[in-house]
Amino acid sequence: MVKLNSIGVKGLRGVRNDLFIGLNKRSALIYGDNGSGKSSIADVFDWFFYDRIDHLADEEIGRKGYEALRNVFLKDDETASLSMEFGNPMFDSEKTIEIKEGSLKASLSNDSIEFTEYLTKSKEENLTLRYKELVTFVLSSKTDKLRALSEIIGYSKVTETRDVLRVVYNRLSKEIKTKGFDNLINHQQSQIIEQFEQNVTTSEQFIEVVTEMVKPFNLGVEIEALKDINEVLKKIKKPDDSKIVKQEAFVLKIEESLVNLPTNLGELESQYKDYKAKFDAIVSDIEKLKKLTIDKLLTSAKELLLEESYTENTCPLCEQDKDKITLLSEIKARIIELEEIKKEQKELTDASTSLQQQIRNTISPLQSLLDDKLIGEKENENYKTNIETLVTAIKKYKEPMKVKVASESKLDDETELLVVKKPITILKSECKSQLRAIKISRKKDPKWEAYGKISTSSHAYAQIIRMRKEKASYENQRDTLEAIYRRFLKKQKEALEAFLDAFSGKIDEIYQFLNPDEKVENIKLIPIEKNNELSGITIQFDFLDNKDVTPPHKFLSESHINCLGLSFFLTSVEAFNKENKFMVLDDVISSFDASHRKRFADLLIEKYGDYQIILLTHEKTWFDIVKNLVRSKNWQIKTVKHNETKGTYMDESPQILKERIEQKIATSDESNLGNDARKYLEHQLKHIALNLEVKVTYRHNDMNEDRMAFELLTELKGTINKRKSTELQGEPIIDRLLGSLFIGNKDSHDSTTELEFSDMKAFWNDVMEFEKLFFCEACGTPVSLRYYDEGAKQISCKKRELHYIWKK
Amino acid sequence: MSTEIKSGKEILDEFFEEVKDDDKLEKNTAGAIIDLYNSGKLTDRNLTNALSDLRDKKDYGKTE
Repeated sequence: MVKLNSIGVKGLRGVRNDLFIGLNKRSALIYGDNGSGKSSIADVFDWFFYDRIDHLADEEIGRKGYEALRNVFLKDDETASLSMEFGNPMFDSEKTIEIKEGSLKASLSNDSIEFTEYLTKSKEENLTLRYKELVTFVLSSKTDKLRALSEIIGYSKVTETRDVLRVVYNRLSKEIKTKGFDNLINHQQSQIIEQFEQNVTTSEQFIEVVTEMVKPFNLGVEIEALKDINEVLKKIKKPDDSKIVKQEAFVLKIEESLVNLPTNLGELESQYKDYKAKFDAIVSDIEKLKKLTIDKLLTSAKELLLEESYTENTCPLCEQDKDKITLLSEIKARIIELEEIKKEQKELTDASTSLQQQIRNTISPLQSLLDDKLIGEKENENYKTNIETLVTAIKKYKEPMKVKVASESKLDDETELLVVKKPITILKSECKSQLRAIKISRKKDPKWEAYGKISTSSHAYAQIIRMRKEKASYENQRDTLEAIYRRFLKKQKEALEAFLDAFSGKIDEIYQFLNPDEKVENIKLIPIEKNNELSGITIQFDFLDNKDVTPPHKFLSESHINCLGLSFFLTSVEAFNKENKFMVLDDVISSFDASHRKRFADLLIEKYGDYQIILLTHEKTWFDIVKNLVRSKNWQIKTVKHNETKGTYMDESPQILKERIEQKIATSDESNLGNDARKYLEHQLKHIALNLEVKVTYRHNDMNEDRMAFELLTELKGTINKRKSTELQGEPIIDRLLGSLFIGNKDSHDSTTELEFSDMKAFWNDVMEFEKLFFCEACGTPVSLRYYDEGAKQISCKKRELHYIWKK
Repeated sequence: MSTEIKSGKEILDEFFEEVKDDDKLEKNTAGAIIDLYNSGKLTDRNLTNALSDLRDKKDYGKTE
């Protein structure tokens, strides 16, 4: 599994200049005051792996949080970047963000298949945790818990797939109903009975009847298959029959269009009733709807309370005293209430969509008649008028749907919209009489009469075959989808139960480690079902003598709820992180009491020792506790600082700084090399000054850290002269460094003077020469007064291999 | 613990593998769902269209 070798940040969040964190697959404890920008580290991780920073994303900043990602002091033409080096160098990549054509564009330097796959898989993993995210799961609603867990295990894809199957199954069932296959088949069968005076159920039977009917005409056509009947019809038809044939087909089409109309109108009425009931329910309690206007305010309040910086136990708006956790859970309850209202709104929208679809389906066959050329014929005027009357009446259903809920208007009663059925009766009766008239006119000519019967029955029979096939196709698909959907629900339930069992056990184990003997036991995640479907998850546990109590915030303190949140996160890491063996924890112990803090540190070291942990904190006391615990565990200890010039920066260990400088020299990378070399010199000078008691002007604590190389070197030189250290007095390197352009005075700090790479390299060589003068190459320690030899009047290193005269 | 828990993707992969091997289900419809899932395009719109295309096929249902 993957661990990190280094992180390099430039121009992102609080980091203005280069911030380099060398890790070499080791864990790191990083301290930084509030506002030092340490959270920038967690933010850039989110950006790299998830391509978004959720806690920065909002309407103003955009859904990915990009706008807030670039350092505010960065010029428009400057590129911000994040370099990540991994244990596996194939994944090393730099992600940059720059302004192109007015918008922010991010890109990755590594586009290999291996890296792309790694990044895709990592996106599904839990890599960062912030304080404000700790209680999110524990205090969320049952539905949100299911949603959150679903997100974590990629279960949302399962839910999405289930929804797809259900939606398509419902759509298919509805379509079958609207199509009214059985009505249409019965109608066509009655046509055949009317023409043939008997029912015909098979093709053989149909051919037999037609053969018998045309026998007297000696047409010389052998009917072996249904397609041969067309040949028969051609032979019977006279050239001047075509107009009547077309009109007959048109009237038959009108009759067919009317078959499902009453059923569809009934469905339309029923759907309108449903829509109106939902509409009226919302309007009757319009105050409820108005509550939605404070949705944003409540959501913002929730966000504020989740911020670590908000520590007051008062309501931020009315300033009444209230425990933060209680306030948070009350706000969450109100947000849940609003979600119910939103759900009602969504149901109204769905009912509206369905009603509109039904209007379209009902009008469609009638519109098809109005689009037919024959409708314009004078003899069809009556048909046209009645069909148009029906279409106009159906379209009236569209009007109430334009009424907005907020207008608080009343919708038309369903009785006012009822489509008058009289035009249907008229149409049916006219069709019938016209078809009868055509039939009677044919009676004069036996061939022509046979033509009418065969033609009408052939059309009806063909329609029956087509519709049976279509019906079977639909039903086959619907039944298959239903079977798959049912099986899917079973699979989903089994999988979730197995997951919750294992997950609950691990959460309980971690929680017990953090809270031994506190009588909160047997923590379980319990699935909740509604209408045979999973609708949520709740957290239950045994509390004192009470079994299976819930919800957590009713029984547990803020500190304990945070423990539960942490247990949940760490369980997720163990369960689902399969690519990465690292995690970033940003200020997660802010609300922990002293005992929980210690236990949490023990937990990380004892149970997650094989993970690379980037632990960020602004709590100095806890930092000191953990520092002592991890010092022997090969962790890196770092401090993040912030000032106006540099933004967020980090004091590197001299060893890492030295390695980085040498790496830059080896690759001829001159960026910031002079400053880095000077920083290294300053660090070593401070070390020497401490060991040789070099006196400098008093400064307050923080300012003491800002001492420059020039001041320290000058004072060191003075002390050497004072102690009559003849060997050191004779060394020219001190004067050479004092005369260097790279040090000088404070104003030259972070100097922007452009220097040649060779100058910088020469300066670094001087620094190394200076280092050798005071630090023993064998034992690595500096010459110090701690190893002062009174007899020889010498200072020396620990092993006494490097020593100089030093008179006290 | 990770071996006891299946991720969402694992659950789905396993499920559609079972559907593929089930002779009791109508092959074309099940096949359309599996194909869309395997190509990462299983949405209600795509499935509705795929089923409609299937029904429009001249020989659809003849093999069943």
